[in-house]
Amino acid sequence: MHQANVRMPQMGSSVHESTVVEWKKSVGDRVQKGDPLLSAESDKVEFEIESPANGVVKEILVVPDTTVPVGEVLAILETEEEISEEAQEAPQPSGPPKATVWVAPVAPIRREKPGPAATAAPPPPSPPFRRTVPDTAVGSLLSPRVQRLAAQHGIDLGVLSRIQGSGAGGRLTARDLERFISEGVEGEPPSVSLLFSPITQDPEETLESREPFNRLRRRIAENLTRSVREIPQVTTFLEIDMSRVAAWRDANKDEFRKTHENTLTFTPFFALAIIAALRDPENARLNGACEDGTLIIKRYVNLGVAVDIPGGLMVPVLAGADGLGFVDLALRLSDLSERVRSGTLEPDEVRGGTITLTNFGASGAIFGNPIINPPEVAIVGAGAVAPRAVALPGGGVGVRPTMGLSITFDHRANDGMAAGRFAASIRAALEGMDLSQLEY
Amino acid sequence: MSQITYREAISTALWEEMERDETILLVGEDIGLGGGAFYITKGFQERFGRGRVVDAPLSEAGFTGAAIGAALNGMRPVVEFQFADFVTESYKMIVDFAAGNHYRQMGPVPIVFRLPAAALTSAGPFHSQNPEPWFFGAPGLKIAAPATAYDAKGMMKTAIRDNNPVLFLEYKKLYNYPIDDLPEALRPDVPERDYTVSFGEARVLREGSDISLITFGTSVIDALEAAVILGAEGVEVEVIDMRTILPFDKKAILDSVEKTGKLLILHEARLRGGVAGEFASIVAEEAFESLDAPIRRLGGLDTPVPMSPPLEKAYLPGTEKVAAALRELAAY
Repeated sequence: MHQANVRMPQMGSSVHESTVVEWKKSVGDRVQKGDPLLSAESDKVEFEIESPANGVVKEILVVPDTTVPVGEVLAILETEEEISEEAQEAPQPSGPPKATVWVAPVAPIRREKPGPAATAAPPPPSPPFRRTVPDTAVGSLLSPRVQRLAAQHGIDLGVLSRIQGSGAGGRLTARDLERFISEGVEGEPPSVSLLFSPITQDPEETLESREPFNRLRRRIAENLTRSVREIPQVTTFLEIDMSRVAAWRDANKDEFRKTHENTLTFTPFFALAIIAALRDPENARLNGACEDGTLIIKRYVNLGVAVDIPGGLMVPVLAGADGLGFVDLALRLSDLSERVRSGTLEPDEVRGGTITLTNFGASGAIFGNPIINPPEVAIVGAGAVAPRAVALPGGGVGVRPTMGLSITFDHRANDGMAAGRFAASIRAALEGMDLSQLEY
Repeated sequence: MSQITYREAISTALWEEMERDETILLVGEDIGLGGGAFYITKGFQERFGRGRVVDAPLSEAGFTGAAIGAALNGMRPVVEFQFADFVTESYKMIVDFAAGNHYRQMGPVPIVFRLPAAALTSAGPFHSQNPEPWFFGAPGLKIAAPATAYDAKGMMKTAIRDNNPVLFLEYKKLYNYPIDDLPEALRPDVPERDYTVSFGEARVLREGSDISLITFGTSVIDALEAAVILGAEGVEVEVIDMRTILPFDKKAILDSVEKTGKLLILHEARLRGGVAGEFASIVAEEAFESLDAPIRRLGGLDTPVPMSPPLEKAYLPGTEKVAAALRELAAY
C-alpha cells in the first residue's frame, strides 16, 4: 500500500488560497481516479477537486469553511500504486472551463441537509417545466425573443432591468417589452394605490423573515466593510456636459451595431475619459493601491467595472485598458459584463484592478456615493445621462444632456485638490474628446 | 353545400372517385357485403362489383403486397385496414415496397392506405393507437390527417389522385361525431361539387396572439375547447390544425411562433418519439430568437392505451391537461 496527498490546487495565477466548501467522500470511502472528492472555492470561483488515483480515503485533514493556502494537504489516500509527488501536488480541478463564477442565486450548488429519516416515498411526478433555477432566477432571464427585440430597438440592459416584468418570478416577457416600446416613457405613470392598512393581514404570514447572506453577499459585505473601516474616504461631485459624446453616439450607434453586433453604451466613453485623465502624471496618484502606509502608483490601467448580477454585484477587471483602441475597449467591456452574467468569467478576471468605474446611472441615479474597492485608492461613479436645463456660457438657459460624476478617493493617499483635478480632467476629456479618432 | 358527417365525407369521396376513374379499386377485410368495420363502403360492392371492391383474406401483409402490385401495374388501389393498429403487419410492404419504390425503380405507386386511428372509448391497446410516429421517418410516404368532414372529402380525393403512397389517417372518434356538438371551426360546409385539399397546408382554426397551439387529428377538439377556456381568462391562443403530417407546413408553425413567441405542440400519440419532437426541434433550430418561453409538448402517456375508461382518460391529453399547459405557458 502507498499513500498519496490531495492538495489544494492553484485556481488562476493570482490565487494564493482557497476554501474547502464540502467533502463528497468520507474516510473509508473507496474512490476511483477522477471521482470528485470535495468542492472548494477561491475568491468568487467554485470548483471541484478530483481524486488523483484509485484507492481509499484514509484521512481528511481540513474541515469545511476552512481557508488554506494553495498546496496545503487536504486529504490522504491509500493507493494501490505509487503516485509521484508531482501528481500529488497538482491535482487538477475538474477541467479548467468548469470553473464557475459565483453568480448566486442563479447557479447555487445544491447542498441538501440530511432530513429526518424519511420512509421511501415514490418520487413525485416530474413537473411540466423542469426549472433548474428558482423563480427569482427565472425572473432575471431574458428570453431570446426579448433579447432580439431589445437589440432591434437599441434598448440596453440597464433600461431592461428597470421595466417591471409580468412573467414568472417577475420575468420581463416579450409582451412587457413591446408595451414599453409602444408606450415608452410617454405613457402615463403607473398608478400607485394607497391602501391605508397594515402591509400584511394574513395571520399565517410572519411579520419578519430572516435571509442569511449567501456566499456572494458575504463577499460583498466583507469587502465593503473592510473598505469603510480602513479607508477614510471622501466623495467629490461635478457635472459634465455630454452633448458632443451623446450626439456622436446617437449618430453612430446603429452602424456600430451593424458592424459589431453590439450595443454602443456610454461606458466605453467613460473608460476613455478616465484613461485620458490618467495619462497626466499629476493624476496618476489616483490609480493604484494603498497598502501598509505606502501609496503604490501604477502607470497602467486595469479598469474594474461594477456589474449588477442577480442578488449582488461583481467587479470584473479589464486588464491593460490603456492600451486598447475604441472598438476593443467597447467590445471587451461588453464581453466582460456578459460573461459575469453568464458565470463564465475566468478567475483572474476579477483581480488586479487599479481603479474602478461604477455606472449607477443605469439605475437612473443622478449622483451616487460609491465606496472604494480596496486596495484601490479611487472609484469613479457615472450618473444618468439625461437632458437637463443648464446655464449657457453666453447667459440664458438651455437643455443639454448632462451627467453627474462622482469620485470617491482615499484621503490617506490623496487630498481634495488632487481628486478635484482628476475629476476636472475626466470632464475635460468627455467634453472635449477628439471624436474623429473614434473609428470602428 | 351541406353539413355531413366525417364518415359520410370519406364515403362520398371514395364513391365519387370510383365513378370518375375506373382504375380505382378498394381492398380490405369485410368491405364488400359488410361495408367495412365502420360501414364506409356499404353498398359499394353492389354498385362497382366484386372486381373493384375486393374482400381480402385476414392477412394484412398479404393483401397490402397484392395491392402494391396492382398499383405498380397501373391501378389506383385504396386499402382499408380495419384498425390503424393492424398496419404494423404490413410495415415492410408499405415502407420498403410502396414508399421506397420510387427511389429504387423510378415508378409511381399510386396507393392509399386508410387507417382508422386513435382512441374511440375503451377500445384498448390494439384498437386505439396513432400510427404516424411509426412511419414519420420513412422517405417516400405522405401522411394525411384530416380533422373535419370538409378536409376528409377534399384530402381523400387528393390522396387518390396522388402518384405517391399516402397513409390516410381517419379518426374513428370523428366518424359519427354529432355535427352540432363539434366546435364551430370544425364544421365548415362540405360542397357537393368536386374539390380537393392540397397536402402540406395547415389551417388556422382560431386566431390568437399569445400562444401558438399546433395540433392535428382528434386533438383539435381538445385544443379548441381549451382555447375557449383560456380566452375567457384573457389569453388568446392560436390553434393550428396541421392537416397533413407529411409533408408538413413548416412555415405555418414558424409564422405563428414568430407572432406569439410561445408554443404548445399537442397530439394524441405518445409523446416519446411523437412528431411533436420534430416540430419542436425545427422551432428551436430556426426560430430560437422568436421564443419567449420554453417549447412545450403534450401527448399520450408512455404506456399502452388502457382499456379502462378512467385510465384511458388519464392516458389521453384531454382538454383539462391542454388548458393547464396553456396556463403555465401564459404565466411564464
